[in-house]
Amino acid sequence: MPQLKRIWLTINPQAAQAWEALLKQAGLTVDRQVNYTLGLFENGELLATGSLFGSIIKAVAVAPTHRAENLLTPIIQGLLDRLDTLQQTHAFVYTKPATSRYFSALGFQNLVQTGQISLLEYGYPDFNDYLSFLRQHKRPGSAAAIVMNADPMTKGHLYLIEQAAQANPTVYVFVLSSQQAFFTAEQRLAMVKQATATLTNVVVLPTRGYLVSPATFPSYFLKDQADLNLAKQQALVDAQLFQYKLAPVLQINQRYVGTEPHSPVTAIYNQVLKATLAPTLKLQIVPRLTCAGQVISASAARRALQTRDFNSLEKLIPPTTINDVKECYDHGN
Amino acid sequence: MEIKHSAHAGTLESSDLTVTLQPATAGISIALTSSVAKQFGDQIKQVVTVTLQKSGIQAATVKVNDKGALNCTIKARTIVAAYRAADKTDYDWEEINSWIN
Repeated sequence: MPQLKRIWLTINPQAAQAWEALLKQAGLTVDRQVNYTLGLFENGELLATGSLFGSIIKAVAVAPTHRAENLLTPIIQGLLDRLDTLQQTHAFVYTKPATSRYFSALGFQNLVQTGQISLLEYGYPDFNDYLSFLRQHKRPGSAAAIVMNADPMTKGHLYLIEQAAQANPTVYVFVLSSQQAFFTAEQRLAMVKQATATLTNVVVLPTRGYLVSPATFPSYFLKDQADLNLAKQQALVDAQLFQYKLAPVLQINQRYVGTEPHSPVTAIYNQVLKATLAPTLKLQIVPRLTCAGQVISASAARRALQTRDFNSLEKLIPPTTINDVKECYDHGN
Repeated sequence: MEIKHSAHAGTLESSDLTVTLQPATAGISIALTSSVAKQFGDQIKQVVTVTLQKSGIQAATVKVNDKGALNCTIKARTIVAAYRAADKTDYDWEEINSWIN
């Protein structure tokens, strides 16, 4: 009977080596962005593995010589038990379309499927609960949408929201709920709400993981690991979720994004998004706000915070949120 | 008993099932996933419904992911999910034994 054990990748190099070998054997790229890993062992040999990154199930592999022995179930059950002890009753898994049926058989529900990626979810609250939540916040008539990380909220974000708010009856601002950010999801949501409090036609909503964040997008199962291909694949998943699942519920007919003059990755992301959303949804690409010749970006704001350069920070962050940003940062450190 | 919040019980192992209960306003509605739904779907739903009613639950949204569980397992998992959802830990075994068979 194989035994389920935790693998400590950072402190057990021998186990980590066996783990990497198994992933490669299964045709996966080794992705160490995980924070909990389980292995099934028999006589010291690693037969199957699976990991968690937040509530995302990743790097699941079964040794080719031990397939059809139902080793996937104990791995997934072990990961779900771990989430249970963290009071997490919901999980996501990204996988290849060809293997998604194994997860479906375990009770995972399919959310999106593109040519190369399937995204499934397990547990509750689920996607239908999220849609009910959105319906509660629905304003009458058509609307535009913006998805942002707001880590932290900058004048650039505010400018993008204002542009959309002037041209549309309602603007839904989705703030990514991923915890892999400088500020927590709650802090970022609060910042955006506060900065847009005077804009009566702006509704700020959490994404609860239902829009894909580049920080959490796992790509280890894709053959082509080039940045541009990853951006393209992520854009396809994101666009499908947005277009077919979210947009109809809120009558969204336009999505706004900012340009990223120095990033070819964002450029390709926007390009794929535009092509996939057409013709049902229009993508409005708004040029970035600049300040003294520099584009305003959240990463510049984070740098200013880290060096406590409050003069630069004031140029980047809206006055309504600057104190909150400083306070959140000081409390967090 | 009354469902105060979502709760679940069970595992994904073969011959087991997971029962997830969520609060509802009226009635018991069950969404069932099972590879034997065609043969035993109605029976599984019947066992879950009766077990909930016997536990004093009149309203619930139920998700059942069945892996070929026997009736005794279905009853056991449903009872545990109901107690968890009602935040109750004092199992009244005498009362349960009076109707479980």
